[in-house]
Amino acid sequence: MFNQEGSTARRFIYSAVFWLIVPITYGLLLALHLWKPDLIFPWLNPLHLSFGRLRPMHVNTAAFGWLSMAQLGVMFYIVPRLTGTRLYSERLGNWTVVIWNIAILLGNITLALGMTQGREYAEFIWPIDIGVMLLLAMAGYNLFRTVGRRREKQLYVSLWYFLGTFTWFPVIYFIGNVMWVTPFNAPPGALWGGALMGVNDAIVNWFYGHNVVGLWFTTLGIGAMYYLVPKLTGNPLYSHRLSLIGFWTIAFTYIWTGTHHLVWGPVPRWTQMLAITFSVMMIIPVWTVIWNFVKTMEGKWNLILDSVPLRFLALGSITYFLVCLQGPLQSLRSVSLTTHFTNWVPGHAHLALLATFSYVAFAAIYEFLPRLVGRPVYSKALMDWHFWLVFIGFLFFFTGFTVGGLVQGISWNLQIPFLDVVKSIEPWILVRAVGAVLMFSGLYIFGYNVLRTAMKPQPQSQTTPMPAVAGGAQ
Amino acid sequence: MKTTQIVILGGLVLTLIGIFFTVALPYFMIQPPPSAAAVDWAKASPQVVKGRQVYVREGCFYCHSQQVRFNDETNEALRPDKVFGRASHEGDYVHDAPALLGTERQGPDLRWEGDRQPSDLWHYRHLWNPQLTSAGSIMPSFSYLFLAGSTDAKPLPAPEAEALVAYLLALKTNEAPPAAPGAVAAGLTLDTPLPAGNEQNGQALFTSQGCAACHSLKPDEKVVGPFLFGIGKTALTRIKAPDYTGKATSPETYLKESILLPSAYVVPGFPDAMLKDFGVKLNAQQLADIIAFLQTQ
Repeated sequence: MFNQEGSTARRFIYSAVFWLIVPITYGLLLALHLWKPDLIFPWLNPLHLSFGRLRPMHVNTAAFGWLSMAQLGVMFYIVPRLTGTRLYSERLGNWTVVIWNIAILLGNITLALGMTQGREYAEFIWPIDIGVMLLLAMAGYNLFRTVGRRREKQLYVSLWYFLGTFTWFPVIYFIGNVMWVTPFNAPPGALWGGALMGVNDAIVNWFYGHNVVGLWFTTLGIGAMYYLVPKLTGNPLYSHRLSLIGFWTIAFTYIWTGTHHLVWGPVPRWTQMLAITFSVMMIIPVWTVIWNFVKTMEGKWNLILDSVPLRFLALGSITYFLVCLQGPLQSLRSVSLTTHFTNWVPGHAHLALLATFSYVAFAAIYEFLPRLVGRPVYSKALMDWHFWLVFIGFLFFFTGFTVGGLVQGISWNLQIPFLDVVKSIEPWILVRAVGAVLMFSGLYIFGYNVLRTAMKPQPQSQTTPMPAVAGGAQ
Repeated sequence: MKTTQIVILGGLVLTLIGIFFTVALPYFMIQPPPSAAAVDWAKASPQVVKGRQVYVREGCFYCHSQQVRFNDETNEALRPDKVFGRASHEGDYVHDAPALLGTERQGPDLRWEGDRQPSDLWHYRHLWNPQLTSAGSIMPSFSYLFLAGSTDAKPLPAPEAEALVAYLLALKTNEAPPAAPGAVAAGLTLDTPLPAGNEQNGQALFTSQGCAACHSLKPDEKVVGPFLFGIGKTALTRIKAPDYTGKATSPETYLKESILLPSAYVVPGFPDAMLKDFGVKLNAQQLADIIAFLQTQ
């Protein structure tokens, strides 16, 4: 059972969809709490679950449960097709899925019990970090061995991104989680290890918090996009050279930018300026990617009317462009003066992970899952519902975060009393909660659709056979 | 060299260059001397250390930052933020692991909370039910840190709540207050002429500004500060008492002084716990309204 071709990719995708439903439920509770503080936590307080425990459960499950597993499922689907060979070991891949699920489950339990490293994005406690390193080694080994025995001579750019990601991310994870500080040699206060002393801890925390987005989710996501855009449009990639410029510039510039989370803060000026400079330079890799996609799409834009995957992919490209324009902008000292500490920033984070790279994952799952299970997606109508609920929901959601954040930032700069500002953004919190409900519905529909596709074949599937699994990007 | 080797080696080298400049170099270069504010957790009382662990465990740092930024494009010297106090710097954090700088302010900054709100009673009431002290707050109740039998009137903190509050009170500059007594940071001063006050508006402000969190209007009910039943008359006896340290000459000026400069005279038996920023929070009309309302009590 663990040896079946494609079973790793399939199980990664199923697990990912399960781990999508969990954190969006947490997220909805959090959004509703911020709207009406008496609504949620009186029920959860007997479990000692307050906002501060649910929030890291939401973030970590969404990031490392849903998005990471979805992206790895997509990667393990794409890699055999670009290398013209089977995955090195489906058995190893399946065990990776199993252990990954255990890690996320343990992560949820420990965070609910208040066991945390107390550092944003790096909350998982030291023993789970060890598990994550093991998982990265297992997945990376499988990837490298598969590429090592490829029959396709040219190394398509998607593979560059995947190989690069598995080269640098274990290093980033190890340093970012300060893994040499264990629960056994940690200073008082850092019960579960994984922290440096002083502001260096914040610098390393944001080195990690930023690069987990930039050199894990982004590079895995871009790798998938480089496969999907030519595949879904039927056009060859516009420029291979441009894609390589994008690869080397992202590998060079992204790693420097973390300290822009501490602009104006208690860290040396030069560390801030270095981060801001490289944040602005991020425009180069991003625009090479976008330009490449726009040119590849040429003449095929009408396809988005019919194809939900392509629609998600196009929308993901647009939000990628926007989020990477917003990022350098808000790293500037003058902008940070107003936007920092406000709801603007989590809005930005959701634009990257819940919009951009989740949209790419939706596109990939809708495109690959039928080939993995040998029958079409259960319902085309539900795919449309999923798209439109998420699309419209996210507009509300993002507006609520962003405008609410601007109101906060401007009011604080005017020294308006804190509680007055809390009250004044209530309408925007409501807008965001409405968006959250719409998206929540769309994502539930997605989960249901995947579940039905995964279950027994539908009678009508016999009449519309899917194209056979075929290798290679055009 | 094969393409795969170029990708792997190139990616690794670029990553390590970035890590050298953004992680390793700061690690060796940032070695500031500890400031007066830096608490050495290895030597602090076990209760305060426990409080910090509770702060981390409950995720307080997700909504409360602990960094006051410079916030001034033209002046980078340490300068007070009118709301949160002096800008924090590297020396304030030397013993902190993890450093709890925070990135969001769903709630106010807590870097100098021990200076801003030094009353433990206030914090117990706030943790038990945030609405008691801060009407309109979106903070959830931390009732599970309190003993059974706690009520709004009398929250009974469990040891963990006591530790948490001890930690919050330890978050202070430990520097001499920069402002001399009699000076108000900004906004209203004792010399600001007040317009005629409106009692009804004053009553509403008494609630919305959170006065009721610490001051009861009933006789002999001690909350955090003195009860204000009959303050219109007792003010007169206070300013004539021999231990009176303020400069007021009438109930009206006594109330004005007590709101703008709470430390000018602290009623014996009470902590000097009242917030010092009402001169910034209120405008002249609002202050007059509150005084008018209190004089009728």
